[in-house]
Amino acid sequence: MADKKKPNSADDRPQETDRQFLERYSIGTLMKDVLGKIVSNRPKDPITFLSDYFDSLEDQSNLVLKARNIIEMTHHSRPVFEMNVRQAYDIMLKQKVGKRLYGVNGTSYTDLIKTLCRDMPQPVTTKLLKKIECLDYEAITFDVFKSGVFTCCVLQDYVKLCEMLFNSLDFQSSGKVDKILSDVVNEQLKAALANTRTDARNPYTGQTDPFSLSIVEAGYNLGPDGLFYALERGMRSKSQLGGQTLEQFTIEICDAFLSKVKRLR
Amino acid sequence: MGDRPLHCSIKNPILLTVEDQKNAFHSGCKVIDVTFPNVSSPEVGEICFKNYYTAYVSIRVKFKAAPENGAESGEIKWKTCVRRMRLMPSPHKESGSQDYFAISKKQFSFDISNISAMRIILQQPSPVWKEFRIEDLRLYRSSEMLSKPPPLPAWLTEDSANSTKHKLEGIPNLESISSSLQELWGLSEEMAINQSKTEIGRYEVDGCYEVNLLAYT
Repeated sequence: MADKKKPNSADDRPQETDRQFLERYSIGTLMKDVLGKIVSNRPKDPITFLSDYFDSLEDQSNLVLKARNIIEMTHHSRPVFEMNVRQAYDIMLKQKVGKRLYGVNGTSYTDLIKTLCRDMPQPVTTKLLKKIECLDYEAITFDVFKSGVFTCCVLQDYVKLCEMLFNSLDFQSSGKVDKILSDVVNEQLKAALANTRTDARNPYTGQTDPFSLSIVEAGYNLGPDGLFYALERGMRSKSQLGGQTLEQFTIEICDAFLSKVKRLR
Repeated sequence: MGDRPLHCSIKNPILLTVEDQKNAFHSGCKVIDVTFPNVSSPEVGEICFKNYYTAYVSIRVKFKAAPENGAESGEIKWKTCVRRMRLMPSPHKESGSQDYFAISKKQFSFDISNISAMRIILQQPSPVWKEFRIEDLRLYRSSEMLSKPPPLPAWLTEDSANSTKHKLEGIPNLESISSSLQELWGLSEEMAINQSKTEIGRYEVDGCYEVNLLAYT
């Protein structure tokens, strides 16, 4: 008799507390958030995205990590990226800076940049920081924040592409690339980047001639024809300069990228 | 080429007519007089102009009187330098009617130097055109140092016929290297365009902060 009573009372409680149970832990809002993020970010692999998201929920205390996770939710070329950056900035605004003072200061900004660049070789990160770092006490506006974050995300893509380029230059799969080839390739890239200027188009006079000509020249230098001639010239020199590892190669190629990063004033 | 313009005074073209009470007709011949008032020893290397429905052009030149022939100064004749140069292959048709021409030294019968006046004679025998003239007439001195035009950029001159047979020893996939490089270029440009232009507002002058260098601007 006593046994029969217990199951009855156990049945009553689950019916009441199903919804209350969910509400106790606000699972509903959590699910709504995740679904909203999946729809707006459209990740290529939703399951991994879901698991990363739930993993990152544990880092609630560290605002910088939270901001980083939001920024890395989508690729920088998609329009949702800008909204994510704004959201990340809003999160970091809650950081306490001083007595009753909240905002994004140089320290948290630098921390965010460093963690966004965690997969890159250390010298690259150091050089990047020299250009865009901010002193600890400086207040970071959204414009500066957005530009710095965008630069980091593009640099992430750039470094991955460097690796692909290294693999295609390393024909013997030896793990090293001939320094001559690497030098030639680097030179062509630097020449192309030096030619094109970003603020060349004058909106008042509409003059674009030097700009567009330099694009043609840069495109030729990097196309199969120009590259063929440059590599031929390089290989004719027949000097043995040894090999370069992936890290050294990446550092040198990133120099070209970093030369285009504007120094903060 | 055209970097040494000759200062001259160009008069309006005069239509040559045959004055006859019964037969007044359009002769189809105009003359432009060119004098050199301020130039001491004019020498012409090149004559440039834009055509407007002129079929033939002739250039006659009058030399300065030589100081020895004091008595024969009245006998100076006009010498033809360019004889009836054809500008329009067919005077009735459109071709060549609005082209740009440059008559160079090679087309002159003799070197034009030390002249006092020049006459440019325009002829248009076709009755089809109501009006004919030459525009934008400019005379240039001859340039002794014929500088070569700047060399063409590499991407125009290099022969792309051999490009399909690219086979460097030891480099099997030139195309993939090239496309990776172009993507890297594209990424860098994209980043450079999106750089923020706002300043943080540092008070540094030339990279260092010095209280004595601070200013209001």
